[in-house]
Amino acid sequence: MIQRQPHQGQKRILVVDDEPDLTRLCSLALKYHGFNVDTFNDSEEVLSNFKPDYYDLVILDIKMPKMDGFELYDELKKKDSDAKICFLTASELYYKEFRKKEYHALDKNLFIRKPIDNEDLLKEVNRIMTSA
Amino acid sequence: MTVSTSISPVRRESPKKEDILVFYGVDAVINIVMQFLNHTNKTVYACVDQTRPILTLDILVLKKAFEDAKRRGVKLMYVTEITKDNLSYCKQLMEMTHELRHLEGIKGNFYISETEYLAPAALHEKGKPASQIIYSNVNEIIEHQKYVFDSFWNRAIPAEQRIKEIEEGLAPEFYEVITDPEKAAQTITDLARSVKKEALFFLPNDKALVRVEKLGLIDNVVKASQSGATVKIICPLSGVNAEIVRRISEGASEIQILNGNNSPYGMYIVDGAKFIKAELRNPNAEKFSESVGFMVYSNSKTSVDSFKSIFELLWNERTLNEELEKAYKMQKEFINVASHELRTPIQAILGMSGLLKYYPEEKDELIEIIQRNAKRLQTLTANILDITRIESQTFQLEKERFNIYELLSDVIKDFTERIKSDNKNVRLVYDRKDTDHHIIVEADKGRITQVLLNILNNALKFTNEGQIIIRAHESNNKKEIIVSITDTGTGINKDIFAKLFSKFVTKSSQGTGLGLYISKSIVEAHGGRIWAENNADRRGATFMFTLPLVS
Repeated sequence: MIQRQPHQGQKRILVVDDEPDLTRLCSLALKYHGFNVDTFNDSEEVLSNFKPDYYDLVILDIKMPKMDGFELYDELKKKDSDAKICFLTASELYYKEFRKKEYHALDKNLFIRKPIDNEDLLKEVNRIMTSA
Repeated sequence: MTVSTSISPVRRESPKKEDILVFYGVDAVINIVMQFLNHTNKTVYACVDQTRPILTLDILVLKKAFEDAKRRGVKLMYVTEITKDNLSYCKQLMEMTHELRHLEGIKGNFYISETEYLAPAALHEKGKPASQIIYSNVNEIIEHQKYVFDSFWNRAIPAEQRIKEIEEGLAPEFYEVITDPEKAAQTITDLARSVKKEALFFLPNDKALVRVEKLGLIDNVVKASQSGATVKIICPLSGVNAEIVRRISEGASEIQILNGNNSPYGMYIVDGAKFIKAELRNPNAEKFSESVGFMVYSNSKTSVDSFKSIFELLWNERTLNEELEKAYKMQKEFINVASHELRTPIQAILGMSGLLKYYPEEKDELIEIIQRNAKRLQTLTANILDITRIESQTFQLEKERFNIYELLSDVIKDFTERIKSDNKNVRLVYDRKDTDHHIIVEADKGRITQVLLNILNNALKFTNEGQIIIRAHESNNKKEIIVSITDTGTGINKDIFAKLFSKFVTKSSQGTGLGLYISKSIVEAHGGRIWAENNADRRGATFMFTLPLVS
């Protein structure tokens, strides 16, 4: 059972996924727990609207048209090298490729696997936000 | 036993004693040969060099003596080296001998009968009769020389075969063992230069391609391929030779290269006429001559044929292997795409249903999302099941007779609703002529609807404004109906055009790339065809499929 959390000092989360149903889901689920959530369904739109040093966490889908989550990761890091970015993905191959290639330094713990229920999503988000 | 010499021709009607004699002078030599022929009644074995057939026939007395012997029933077994120069003489000799054979490189001459042995005692001047000759009737010598004759005879080939080779300009068969590495390198280079119709390479390791490239072999086969020769290469492929492989494909795209396994030897077969088999002594050597061990080079037809069939077997095995690897990769890709596509709607259903109790005021929106994703899951599941049925060949049609125009009208009505809900400025046009009224097909109504909806959905997905036009008309021969769907969208991306109807081919982030593959399988199961083209005005694409008409 999810308990409505006390106000978390309005932590800000950005969610990027090409599926509007899933950004809507993340938005509702996280807002319920007191997060301030922005969402985008288009990676190019994110780049033109991204505010550096604003978000406490960025959640990226990986398989997206135009620009995939990894490319978007690089672009966002250019704008804000300290941004905490994690991935919410339905695909395992991407994760393996990611590990193999230039992103091998990235922590395995930064990957959240779909499908995930709301309680677990909340746990993962809290874990990543509080991790070093 | 005595050994005596004579300086004049000696007539010996019937030697009683065992003798070894030497006769001097051309006349004496001719005489003793004639005598020898006259003595024998059974078989004469002659082993002579390439100059003797000409002499035998040009010295008329000798020719006559041979003819007389044949007339008496004497069998003449004759082995010599048949060349272009003595060819016509050898053809005449075939008439006079019981059997004529060819052996390359015979030096010196001897004749044996059942009781006597004759041999020129000194190397004679070319083209002239010998001026001294050894004679013997010693049984041991005759037996010994008969043994020597037999070993030559058994290595020799029939005169007919040799004559054919010369007349057809063929090289004589050879089997060369090369142990000198420099000669081995030269041999393989020369062979590569001679390629006319076909070159088959079996290379023992990845570096072997680099080594033969340094010899200039690759340039040679690229040139050969450009002038129409078939070139096939089996070679272990790696980063070591990737650059050369790329250059080969650039230089001659017709050259086929398959990935092979490491091997202790290499093979090279040219024009189905010559082959090289070379041991790999030092796999890591930089130069061919440093890598090569024992090399066999031959034009023996039997050996070339058997090496060629070994190569073909390897080639087929490698081809099969590549297909398997491709299928495995496709399977992996299928699992990856399918799992991604399955997880996405599950995520929406799982999450949204969990939120229902916290957002009662948003209930309608959440339920709509849940339903939409459940439908998506349903379609995807159906697609995956269809693929499984198609691939396990358990795909079945439930055929019935119906009017294709009625079906089209129904589908168009439903799809018009679908476009409205999409809020796109796209119009669906049914371009129906007055003459289109009643055409009966025997088909699976549900499956044909599936094909139409798949093509229409694709058209809508890639068309933001304009129109989608449906037409259907009978073919000229009245044997089939052609249905076409034309849109004014982005057209078919050239990257995927060639494999449009294969599995997992999609340019949409939401597509699974299964729809057109399934549509093609459905149309073909009905005995029809499906194809697509980009429109001539560079706006949009047209998909067409046919169905046979009921006659």
